[in-house]
Amino acid sequence: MKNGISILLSRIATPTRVGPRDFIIVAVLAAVAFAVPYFAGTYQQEVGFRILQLGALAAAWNIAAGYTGLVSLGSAAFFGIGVYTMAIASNAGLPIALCVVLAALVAGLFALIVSPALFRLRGLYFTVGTLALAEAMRIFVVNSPWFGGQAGIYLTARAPKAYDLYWIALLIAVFVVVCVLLLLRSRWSYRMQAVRDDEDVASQLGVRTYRTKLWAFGLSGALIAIVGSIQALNQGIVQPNGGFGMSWTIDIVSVAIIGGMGTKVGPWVGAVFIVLLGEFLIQFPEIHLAVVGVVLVLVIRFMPNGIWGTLTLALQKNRNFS
Amino acid sequence: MHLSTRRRRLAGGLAFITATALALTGCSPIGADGGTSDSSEPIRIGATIPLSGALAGFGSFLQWGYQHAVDEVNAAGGIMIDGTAREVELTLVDDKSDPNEVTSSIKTLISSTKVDALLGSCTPDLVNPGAVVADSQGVPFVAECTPIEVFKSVKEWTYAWDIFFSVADQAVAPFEALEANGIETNKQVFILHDNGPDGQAIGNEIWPAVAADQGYTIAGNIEFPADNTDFSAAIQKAKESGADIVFISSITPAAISIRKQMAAIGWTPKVIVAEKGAEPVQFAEALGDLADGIIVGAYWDPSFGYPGAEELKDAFESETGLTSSQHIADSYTAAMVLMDAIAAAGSLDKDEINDAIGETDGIYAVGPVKFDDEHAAKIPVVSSQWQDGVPIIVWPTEQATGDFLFPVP
Repeated sequence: MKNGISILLSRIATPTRVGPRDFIIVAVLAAVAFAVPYFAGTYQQEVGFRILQLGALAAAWNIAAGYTGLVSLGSAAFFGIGVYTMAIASNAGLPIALCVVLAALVAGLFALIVSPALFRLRGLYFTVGTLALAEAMRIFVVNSPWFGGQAGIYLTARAPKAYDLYWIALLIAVFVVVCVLLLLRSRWSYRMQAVRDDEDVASQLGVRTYRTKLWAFGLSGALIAIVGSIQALNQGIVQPNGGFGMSWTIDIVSVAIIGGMGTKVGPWVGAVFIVLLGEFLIQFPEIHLAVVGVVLVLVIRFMPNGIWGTLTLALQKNRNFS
Repeated sequence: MHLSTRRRRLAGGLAFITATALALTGCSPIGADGGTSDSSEPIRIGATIPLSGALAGFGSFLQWGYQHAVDEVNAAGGIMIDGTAREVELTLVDDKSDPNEVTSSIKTLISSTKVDALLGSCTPDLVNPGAVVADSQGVPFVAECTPIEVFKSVKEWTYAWDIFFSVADQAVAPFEALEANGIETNKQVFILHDNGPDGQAIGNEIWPAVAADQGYTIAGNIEFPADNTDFSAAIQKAKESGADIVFISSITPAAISIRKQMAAIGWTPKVIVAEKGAEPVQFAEALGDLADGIIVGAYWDPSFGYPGAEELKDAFESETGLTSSQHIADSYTAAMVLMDAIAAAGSLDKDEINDAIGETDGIYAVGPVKFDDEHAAKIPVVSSQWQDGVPIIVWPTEQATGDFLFPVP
C-alpha cells in the first residue's frame, strides 16, 4: 500500500542528463543576474535576494528529497545552523567567506552525527524524524547558554548593502546550481536515483545505500546551511524562532513542490512564483495568508507535477501531436 | 573536430559573459533610493504587525491603535511639512509572528513603499529584528510592546526608540501590591517562568532579588520552554513546596495551561501572579472563573486620567464591539509620538524626525513619555487583578479601581 511519500515520489520526473549546454545557460543567466543591481533599485535587489535564497534552498533540498527520496522536514535545523554559525563566527572577527565555509562544515558534521539514527527510519517515518530534529535543535539553542537564548545574537559587523547581499546570494545560488549539475553528471546521481526508486533493490545491486544517502543528506544540509548563513547577514540579529523557524521548512517544501520536484528548473520557478505572489499581496495583510494558501492548494491540486513539470509535460505532448 | 568547435564556442561565450560582467564592475550599482517626495504626496508611515500566527492576539489592538491615531491626525488636517499640510498614509503588513517576515517586510516598506518612518510590531522577537533593519538604514522607528531592558540590551540604538514598561518595575509591583493591601501569607514564593528573554531576566534574576529584598523566600524556581504545554510535574513540585504564592512569567497559552492544570490537580495557591500571559483579555475569556484573583502587571487603564484615555477606550469598544486592551493605548501613543515628532521637525528629513523623537517630552494617552539616553521611555507599572472577567487595578492604592481579592477563590 502506497503512503503519501511514495505517491509524492512517484510523481517525480527522472533527472534529465546534464550537458555543457546546462552550464552555458547557468553562466548566461548568472551574468544577466549579476547586472541587475546596475539597472534595478534597492527593492528589486531585495526581491532578487529572496528569490535567489529560496531557489537555492529548494534546489539544495531537492538533492536529498527529489533525487534521493529522503523527503526531509528538517531543513530548518540546517538553515539555523548556518544562521548561528555566521553570527558567532562573524562576531568573532572571521571573514564572511570563511564563516560561510564554516557553516557548511558544521552542517555536514551535524548530518554525519544524526544520520545513523535517522537512516534507521524510512519513508514517512524518516520525514517525521527529521521534523522532530529541527524542533529539537530550536529548543536546544533556546535552552543552551551559548547562543543568547530566546533573545539571540546581534551581529556586530556593519550591515551589508542590498546589492552586496544580492551578489553574495547570487554567488551562492550559482554555487548550489553548479553542485547540483555536477552531481547529476556523476555516477552518484544513478546511485541516488536507485536508492530513491527502491532502496532494497539498490542494495542488492551493489549500491552502498547508507553512504549514498549520507552524501546526499550531508551535501543537501551543507548547502542549506550556506544559504542560511547569508540570512544572518540579511537580518543583523539572529533568534531561535527566526533561524530555526518552521516557516523555512514549509517555504522550501512549498517552493519545490510548486515549482516541480526532481527537476533542475522547478525550484527556481517555484521561488519566483512564491516570492512575487507574496510581494503582490503584501498590501493586503488581512487576506494575504488566505490567498497564498488557496493558490498553493489550487496549484498542488491541478498541477501535481509542479508548474515546471506541468509545462514540460504539456510541451512534450504538443511535440508528440505535431 | 566537431567537439573542438563546440568547445571553442563555449569558451568564446564564457569569455564574452566574463568580459561583460567585468565591464559592469566598473560602474556603480544603484544604492539606497532616496525617496523623492513632493508636497502632493502623503507622509508615509509603515509597520509590521502580527495579524496571524502565535502573537495574532496582539496584532488587532496594534492595528486599531495605529490606524486610529493616523485617522485622528488626518481628520485634523494632516501634518504641516515645509508650510504645506500633508495627509499621513499608514501601510500595515502582516508579519505572521515570524521574525524573518519582519525583516523582509520592513525592508520592503523602506525600499518599495518608501516610508518616511516606521512603527514597531509586538514582543522582543518581532520588535528587535525590525528595529535592527530600521537602525541600519537610518529610518526613524518608534516601538512599544517590548520591555525596555530587553530593547536596550540589543545594541546602542540611533534611529530606534521604545516606549514601554520596565521589567524591574513589573517585578516589584506584585510585592508592593501585597504589602499595600496587607495580604497575610507564609511569604514563600514559587517561580515558574519561561526561557524567553524577559522570562529569563525576571524569573532567574529580578524576582529572586526583589523577593529577598522584600523579606520573601524562594521555595523553588522552574524554567520551561516558552511553548511548553505540560506543567503537571512543575505544579506538583510547587504544591509540595508549601508556598502560598506562585509567580508565573509566560506567554498566554502557557499561563492558561498552568492555571487549568493547577485546578486539575486540585491545588489553588493563595496568591497567583502571572506576568505577560495573563495580560490579554483572551486569558480571562479562556479561563472564566479560574482567572479570578490572578494578579498581572499593567500599565494602563482609562481611569488613570491621561489625556484622551477614556475617549480611546470608548472609541475602540464602540467601533469594534470588543473589550479594550491596554495595547490600544501604547500603540496609539507610539503613533502619536512619531507624528508629533514629524510635525515638530516640519520636514521629512529622517535625521530631523529622529532628533525630534529624542526631544519628546509630554503626557500621552498611555502616560508620560520622555526618552532616556538609551532611547527608551519608561511608562509606570501598576498591578491589576482579574475579577469577573475585568482587570481591576489593586496597586497603587490611589489608582485602585476595586478591592484586592484574597485568597484566590
